[in-house]
Order: sequence, then C-alpha cells, then structure tokens
Amino acid sequence: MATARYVTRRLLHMLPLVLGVLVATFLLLSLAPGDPARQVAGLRASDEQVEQVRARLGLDQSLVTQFGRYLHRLAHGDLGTTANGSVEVSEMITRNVVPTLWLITGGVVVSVLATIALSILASRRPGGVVDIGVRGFTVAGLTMPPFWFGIVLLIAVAAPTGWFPIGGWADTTTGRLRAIVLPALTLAVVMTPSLVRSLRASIIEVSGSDYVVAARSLGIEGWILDRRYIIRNAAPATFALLMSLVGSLLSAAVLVEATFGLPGLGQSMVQGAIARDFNVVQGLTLVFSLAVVVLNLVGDVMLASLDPRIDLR
Amino acid sequence: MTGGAASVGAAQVSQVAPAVPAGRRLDRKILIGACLVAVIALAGLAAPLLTSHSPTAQDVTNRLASPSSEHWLGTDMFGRDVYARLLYAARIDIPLSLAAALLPAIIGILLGAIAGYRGGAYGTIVMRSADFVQAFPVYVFLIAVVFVVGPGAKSFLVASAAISWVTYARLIRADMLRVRELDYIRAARIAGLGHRRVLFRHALPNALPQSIIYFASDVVLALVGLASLSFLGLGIQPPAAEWGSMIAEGQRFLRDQWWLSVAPGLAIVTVGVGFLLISEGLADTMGAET
Repeated sequence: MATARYVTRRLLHMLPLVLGVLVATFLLLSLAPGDPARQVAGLRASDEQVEQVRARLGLDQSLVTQFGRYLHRLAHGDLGTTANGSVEVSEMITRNVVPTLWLITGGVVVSVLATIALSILASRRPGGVVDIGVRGFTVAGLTMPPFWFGIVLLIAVAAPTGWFPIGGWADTTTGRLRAIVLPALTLAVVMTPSLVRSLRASIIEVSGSDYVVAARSLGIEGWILDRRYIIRNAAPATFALLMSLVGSLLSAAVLVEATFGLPGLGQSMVQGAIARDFNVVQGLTLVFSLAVVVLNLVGDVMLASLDPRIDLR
Repeated sequence: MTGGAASVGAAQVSQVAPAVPAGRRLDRKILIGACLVAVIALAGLAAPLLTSHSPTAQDVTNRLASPSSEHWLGTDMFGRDVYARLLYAARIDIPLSLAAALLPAIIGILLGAIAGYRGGAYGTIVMRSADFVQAFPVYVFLIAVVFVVGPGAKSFLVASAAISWVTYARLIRADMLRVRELDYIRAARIAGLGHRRVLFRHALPNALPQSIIYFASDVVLALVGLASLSFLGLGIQPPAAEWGSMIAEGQRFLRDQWWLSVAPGLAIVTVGVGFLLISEGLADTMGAET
C-alpha cells in the first residue's frame, strides 16, 4: 500500500517535469531557424502555396493553439512523418528501438558483471597492486571518448580475428549476438568506472561492519561471505547510482550506435539532426527524455524494494 | 556536462582525500597532470615550429601515405599531413573545452550561490530548472541545441552552458546552505555589511573549493563532449583540424591506416588524464586544508 502511495506521489512530482519536456520539444520548432512551411512546400513553391501549407500545418495560429494541437497529436501517438514523408516517425521509432534495446541490455549486463568482479578484486587489498590497476582502468575509462574505444576494439579485435563484424546489424539472433558484443563492451567501459568506484567503497565499508566480523568469527568465508553478507548490503547504493546513470547510458548509446553503425534510435537522431529533419529530432528528444524520467522512477521504486530500510514516505 | 561521468566527478569530489598532511605526494598529482596538459598545449601553440606542413593543405597525389620521414604520421584521405593536423587541433580542442567548462561554471556558481544564500522561491526555481535540464540525456540535449543553433563552436558553447551549470549550482548551493549559518557570516551581517558584500566577499569564497575541483574534471567532460559532437559530424566542421572529426575520418580506413583514428584519441586521453590528475590533486590538497 505504501508503495502504491509512493508511486502516485512520485508520478505527481513528475508531471511538471513532463510538461516542461513537452513545452521544450514543442518550442524546438519555433527556435529552429528557417521557415518550416517553406521547407515542407519545397524550394520551388510559390508564396501562395507556402501560405496554404502554413495553414494546413496550423502554423498560422497562435503558439498556444499550436501547443494544444501538438498535445492532441501526441495523445494519438502521432509524431508526424519523416522529412521525405515516406515513414511515420512513430513507426521508425518502434523499428529502430530494437538495436538500441539490444545494445543497452548488453551494455548493462557487461557493466554489472564487470563491476562486481572488479570491485571484489580491488577491495580485497585496498592500495594493493590489483586495486591500483583497477583504479588506473577507471581513470582511463573516464577520459576515453567512447567512440574512440569502440574504434580501437574494431582495430585490435574485430579486424584481425574476424570474430565480430566491423559494425552493422544483422537479421538473425546469432548474427545480432555477434554484432552486439563489441558495442556492449564499449558501453560498459563508459558505465563501469563510476560503478566500480561506488561499489568498491561500499564493499570496504561493509567489510568492516560488525555483522561481517561476526560472520567471519563464525567461520563463514569465501564466496558465501562475499555474496550473502557483503555484496547484498553494499549493492543498493551502487544500484541507485546505476539508475541515476540512465541518462548517460542513453547518451553513450547514441555515440556507440554511431561508431558501430547500429541502426538504433541514437543513430536516427544524429541523422535527423544532420538532415535537419524536424519531426525526427523532436520525436526522439521527447522519447529519450521521457525514458529517463520514467526509468528514474522505476529505479527509485526498485531501490526501495531492494533495501527495506529506505522509507517510502 | 551532467550525466554519468559528471556524477563520477561529483563522487570523486565528495570522496574527500585521506587526511594526509598536504605533502609532496599530493602535489605530485597536480604536477604530473599539469605536465601532461602543458606538453600537448605547448605542442599546439608551437605547431608552426614543430612541423612545416599546413594542417589543411591537400595533396591528392599522396593520399593515405604511411608514416615516413616527410610525413611522421602519414597523410589522410585528402593527402593532408596527419602530424600537423594533430598539433593544430590542440589549438581548437583545448581552449574550446576550457571555455565550455568555464562558461557554465560562472553561471552555475552565481545561480547556486544566490539560491543557497537567499533560498526561498528563487532557490526553488533554480533547483527545479536543474532537475529539468537533467531530464535530458546529455547528447540528446546537445544534438537538439545543435539542431537549433547550427553546428559549430558556438552551438557547442551554448549547449555546454545550458547543461553543465547544473552541477556547479548544486555543489555551491549545498555548501552555501552550510556556510551561511556560520558565525563569521552572522558577524559580518551584524557589523552592518550588505547582503551582496557578505555573499560575494565572505560566503562565496568559502564555498568555492568543491567547484574548483569539479571544474578540472569537467574540462575532461567538455573535451570528450566536443570530440564526440565533431565525431558525429555536428561539431567543428571540416576542413578545420579537430581530434574528434579526425577520428571519424580515420574510421573508414581502420583496417590499413589504423593510426589515423588511434593518434587523435591518444591526444584526447593524454589531456583528459592530465586534467583528471589535476582535479584529484586539488581534491587531496584542498580536502586536507579544511
């Protein structure tokens, strides 16, 4: 019951944020240079034709009316068509979300596994050789542009071995698995450094706590001690960090998709911006920011259920 | 920049150093970091002395040449000298990332200082705007701004200012809430000093250290952001030499001319590690002082 009330209140808190996002994406159109009506009508259209298009698109009405129509359209899932008019933007999004979801799932799985392994290794002996090595990796991971690391992987792994395609997407599941390995690894290099720092610090803290000392004195050791006593208590803080990184995860996905030529949402957004395709940029800005808002909420709720000490009020 | 790496920066800031007395070991980080940055920055400044080639002169008869005594890092797909481009790119990347970190720092520090000192409705508006900016993934926001302003250095600066002020505002506001309750601030008020003077002369200087530490690591995020935007074709436009766009151009030839992409990336990492070390060194020394 408390959870339901918590979710409701968080949803109410979200409303102004969502409204702000809607207004901002709507205003993109009026801020962008150039006359959208003329763009739609084409270069050779007469002034009269341009005015007709303007009236058809409702661009001759007040901003408030236009905003109302924008919301009305969105409520019907209508994001307009791409600039050449061939595809609905909503259709394009449902098609291109597939590689993006593969990439993000793969990236999160690799990040989580790498984080747990590296943090346990590094926290064994703080200040030791392994710890310093892991620290070096986190610093390097912070400064490396993700797209560059991706290219280095292509040069050093994909090109000489031929195990993975040099970018691109596939139709079969095995092909997709092969195509996603290096992009997921690249995404993980972006995510892991901050996660390792957080989990390593929590593990060291929890390891010194009374109940771990007590467990040790009872003869509990090794993997059981790590998993049941230490990780389980150290994880929530890192999990919270992971959820707060959702925005940068999506950001990095944009770059990784461009690097590996994955036909995902980030790639569509970049190409839309280069081609000055208004509906595509507007629709994807909306989808990406709403995804962040919703995932942050999901993260908070999951965190609260992971750690009963967190008060939902 | 806000987002992942930003929260790492913040995490690292709050992770106040072990209370080692400010000794030689701590200053070494700043020294090494400053050396790394200085080497690349000086190479950029002294580019005309270090190479006789122009970064933009094309030589179509000598495209994609391998490294030689004439072209130390070979030539790119237009026959331009890669070594010269690498050097001249430092003249764009380093000052622009510094500017892209400084601009939001000033905005964020002012907004955060007033929000923390005054609080009330003003503080609420500032913090709600911060929440709003963070609802957008950084690169989605960057691309949207570039879409509005048009590609180039200007839109990168506008976008950075619009995004990165958030972290400074949060840091400064949090410190300000603490500092404004301290005795010497009360004393300054009782002594009859005006709010503006107390805020800027007495309170703000004592809330600044965290932001200075964060600034050094934020330069890294700005550098990577600029390179990323140019890599996507939405940043610095050709034919100007810029590390990110050099990486993108080289990617097409990664099988045979792999150094075209690898070399500019190493330059970015060198400068980035330099600024991160400076940031950590500052955190160590300033943390030890307070």
